[in-house]
Amino acid sequence: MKKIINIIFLLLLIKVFPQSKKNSFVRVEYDIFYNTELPNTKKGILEIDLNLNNSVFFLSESSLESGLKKDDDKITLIGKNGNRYMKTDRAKKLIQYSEFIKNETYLVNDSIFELNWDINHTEIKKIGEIVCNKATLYFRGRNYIAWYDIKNPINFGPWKFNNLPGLILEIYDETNRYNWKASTIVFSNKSEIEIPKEDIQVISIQEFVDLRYSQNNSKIYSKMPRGVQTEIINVGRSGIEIKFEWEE
Amino acid sequence: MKKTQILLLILLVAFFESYSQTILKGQILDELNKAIPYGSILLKNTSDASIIAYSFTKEDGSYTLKTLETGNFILIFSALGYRTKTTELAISDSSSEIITNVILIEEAFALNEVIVSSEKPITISNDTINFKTNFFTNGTEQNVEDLLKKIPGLSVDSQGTIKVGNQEIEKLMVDGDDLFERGYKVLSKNMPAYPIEEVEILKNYSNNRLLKGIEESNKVALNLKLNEKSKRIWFGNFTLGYGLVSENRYELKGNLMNFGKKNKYYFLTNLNNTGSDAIGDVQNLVRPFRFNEPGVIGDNVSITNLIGLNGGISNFKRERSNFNNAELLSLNAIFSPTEKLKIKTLAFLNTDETIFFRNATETVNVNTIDFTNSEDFKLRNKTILGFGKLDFNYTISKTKSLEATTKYNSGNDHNSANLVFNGLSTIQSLKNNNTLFDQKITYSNKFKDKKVFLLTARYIQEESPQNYVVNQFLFEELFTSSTNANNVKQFIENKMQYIGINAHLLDRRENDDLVEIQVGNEYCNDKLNTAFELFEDDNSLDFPLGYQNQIQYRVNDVYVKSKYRLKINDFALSGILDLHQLYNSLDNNENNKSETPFFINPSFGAEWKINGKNKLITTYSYNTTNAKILDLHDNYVLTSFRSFQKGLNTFNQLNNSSVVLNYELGNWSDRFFANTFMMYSKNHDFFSSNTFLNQNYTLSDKIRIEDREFLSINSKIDYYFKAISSNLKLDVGYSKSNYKNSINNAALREVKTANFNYGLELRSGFRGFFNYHLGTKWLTNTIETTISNNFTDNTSFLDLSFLFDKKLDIQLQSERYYFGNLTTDNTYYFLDFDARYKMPEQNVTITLTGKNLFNTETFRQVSISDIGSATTEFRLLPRFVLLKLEYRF
Repeated sequence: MKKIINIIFLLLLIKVFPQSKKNSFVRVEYDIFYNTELPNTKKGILEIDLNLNNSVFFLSESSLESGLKKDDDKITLIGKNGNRYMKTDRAKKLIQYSEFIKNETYLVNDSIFELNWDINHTEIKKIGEIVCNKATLYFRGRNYIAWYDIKNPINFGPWKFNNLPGLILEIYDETNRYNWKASTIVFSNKSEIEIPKEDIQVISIQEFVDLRYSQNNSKIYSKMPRGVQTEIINVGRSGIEIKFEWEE
Repeated sequence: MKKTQILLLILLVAFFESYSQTILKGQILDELNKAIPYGSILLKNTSDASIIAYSFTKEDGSYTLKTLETGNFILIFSALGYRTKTTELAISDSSSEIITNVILIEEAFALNEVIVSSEKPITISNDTINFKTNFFTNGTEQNVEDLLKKIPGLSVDSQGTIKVGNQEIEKLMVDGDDLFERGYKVLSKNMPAYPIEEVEILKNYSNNRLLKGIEESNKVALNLKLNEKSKRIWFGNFTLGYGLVSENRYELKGNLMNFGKKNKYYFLTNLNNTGSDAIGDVQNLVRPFRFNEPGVIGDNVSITNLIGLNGGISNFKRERSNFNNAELLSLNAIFSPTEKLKIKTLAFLNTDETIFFRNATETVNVNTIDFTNSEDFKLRNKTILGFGKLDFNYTISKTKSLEATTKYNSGNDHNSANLVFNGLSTIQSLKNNNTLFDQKITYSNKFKDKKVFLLTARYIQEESPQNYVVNQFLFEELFTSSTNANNVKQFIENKMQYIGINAHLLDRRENDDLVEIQVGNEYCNDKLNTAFELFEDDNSLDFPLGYQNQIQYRVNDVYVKSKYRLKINDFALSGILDLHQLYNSLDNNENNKSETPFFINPSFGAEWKINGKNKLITTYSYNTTNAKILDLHDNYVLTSFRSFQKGLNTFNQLNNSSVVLNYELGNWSDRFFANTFMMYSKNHDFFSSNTFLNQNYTLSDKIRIEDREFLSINSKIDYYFKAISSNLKLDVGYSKSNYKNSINNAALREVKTANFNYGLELRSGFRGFFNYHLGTKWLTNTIETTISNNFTDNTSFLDLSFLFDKKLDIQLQSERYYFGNLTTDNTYYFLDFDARYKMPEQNVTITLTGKNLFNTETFRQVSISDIGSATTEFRLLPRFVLLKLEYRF
């Protein structure tokens, strides 16, 4: 009798103290500095769903402010011209993000997925108290340097950067024009970012590049007065991605 | 045969395959044998811990890693929520596939939140905006001025005045300590930019730290923070430049500094004859004027010299016409011997020899008077200025402090001018001596959390005698009994003593209202003795009557000033009421007069912060000004080789009303920022003049007139064009004034002047090789009496900057001046360039500077006045090229 009660107790104990609830969400806040002609700072939040292995990267327009306004624990995205978001799904190998061209919102499906990092670097750097390893990448016209934390084997990062054996805490391009730096990492078991289901036109990345860049060029050519010979001027692209794979 | 070949091929391929690549695979499971997806596997070198390869587990927990390396490695298996496991691995040539399965043990999360410290380029907290300079600079910045021009929101004008938005800074601190106060240009023009790591803008700044949070302040200050390796060490730079292909132009600059925590030293020296002015405006160092600063009295008290023989071109780069030979040595230090005591010492010595050339034709055309004068003027000025300041700041406790400042200034000016006036050769000589002693003590007591009491006492003593000799006698018509005179002497003795005491109470109420009460007494004793003597060679002929002054003017002002600031949400209303009881006493050549006027000066203001982007400020004030000694001497004084001036022998209080309206749209950090300022001022009485005009001399009598009006509207707009990465600045202004004067005792006539200026500037912010800054400004001036005179001038500039690489950069500056009233020679072009080559390993920079490459030697300008117009031609520094070598240590 006693033995059975003991066993029942033991079983109960195992049930009462279950395995620690796995924190299934990680939320990383990034300070983003676009050192463009009019420098501005933004806040980015990367929320990773560890169970489904996908992430949402949310960019807010709060320039020059140190603090993000939250409403009731839920950050809702407002549609036009305000906040942008990016969904990365490793299982389905899909990156989908919102873009605005001429006041129209589009959802762009990106083709590239597995980024080819060069991890053969021995330098380490301490970001806060975390020791990070270095990785470099050439991606769409720019060379990037990333510092990732191998103790946190989360293979996501800000914006389109992913696929490093650790969470990317800092990444910037070699001219220091685009800079992302993590400021806080929070583990929780609920999601705080909600993407509203909107009826937005979905386009591929090639269509997006065409809409954004090529059509502008043709407008410029069209306005030239007669007698002006135009060579193919590569109107310098400003932006994070300046050269795409199919153009190489 | 074929078959064997194929077989060999397959074997070879297989051989190479296995030789080159090893496949590491396996599965990661947890203790319950469940697959762990999305975990990471790292293959690391044992020798240097570099990562060779990595991969992630799939949903089923399996992984595959491929590598070409051989040797000893470690495999690290990690997944969130589990303890990381490390296994050793040896890969040899013969290995083709290594299977490693691991079981990971769960590990609870130790932390829930990790804060990673980050370095942001711009950080804002409360009243401080912090900029990390490395994000904004590109390596071409030489001194602090160049660095501050690159920080968004800061602007530096051609004189070196630093502004945040529209507000000039109070001081430029280095690591929290300030050496020069309003004389910050000494630091910004000379200190190098490379040791500065951060620039902080401190808004709502209080000069007295006990007033922070209590006084209503929109003052701003800048703080420069140095990088670690520049702290507590002696560092500096040394530049030597010598002219090539031109007459001996030289430049020697040296900075030596040590910014430690306890003691800070800044020594600088500047010797040059290239026209550059190292101190900026020296008056800001010696006699700073602080407006609306609690506990400050006596800033507006100083001697004004009656005779001035200086030259200068308005609206023009002073260094182009400044034929100088200047030597400056400045030694400054801050000591903190104990935590409570801070001692600041400032000393500088400046000697300069400047030559100024001017050629003018003045046409006077009023009523029935019509004549033309021509002047060919060459001025040589030798000046020596020595200034010393000692400042003690003792922190008695957290709420009490004591500050004592002692200033001593001694200057000696010798001006000699050769003048050919209407064909007549004249030599003028003016000797100025200036001695100033200033002692100020301030006691501050913050007796409650939001209440402060300040007690200030100040003593100023200043003497400024002038000795003026002209070796021509142009005044036969005035002194008919001394027609054989051939030179004149004017001697002026000007002494001033000031004693002031002020008690100021500030009370910041719970509801954020501010109450201020000041009680004080200011006593000022002015002595003015002037002597005008006619000479024949060395014999004194006469001290003509009506041309000698011996006056002593004593003013004692007992006052009560009160101010109330009411805050209601976004509105702020302020009311000021000042009561003054004066005692004026005038001793004039043995006559004595006194009076005791009483007056009230009220003022009202309203501030409305419409929202984050719109702000409106308006004030109305009524002011009474008491006459100064230079308004009161009623006998003539010779103020230039052909003009005499006198004042009124009666006491005067002048009343003035003014209205100011200021509207700000946007903040400096927005793409669009506009600031409109409007001011209307009416002088109910003012001092005008009744001038007797004659070809050879003018006599100007002060008269008291009613009603002068002044209106000024100015609007500045900033807009950033993303498409061309450039910032556009528009500046439009209009000002108009009406006043009256009289010529030759005729009836009062009205003079109307109007100024209209509009200009735009476009500045690029490219990050690459090329940058430009261009601008143009039109100025239209109209003066109307019985006839109307006007002119329109235009000034344009184009600056180009080329950054070849980190070592070489070239800057080009060009200007164009156009004068509408000149019929010939009305357009002038100037071109300057700077080419810099840096050698960072040797800490050396070589610069080639060229100024005035078009070799424009003379410059003509037209100015109009209410009696006529003048065309003036100035001589400019000819083209020169300087080769400079800078060494940093």
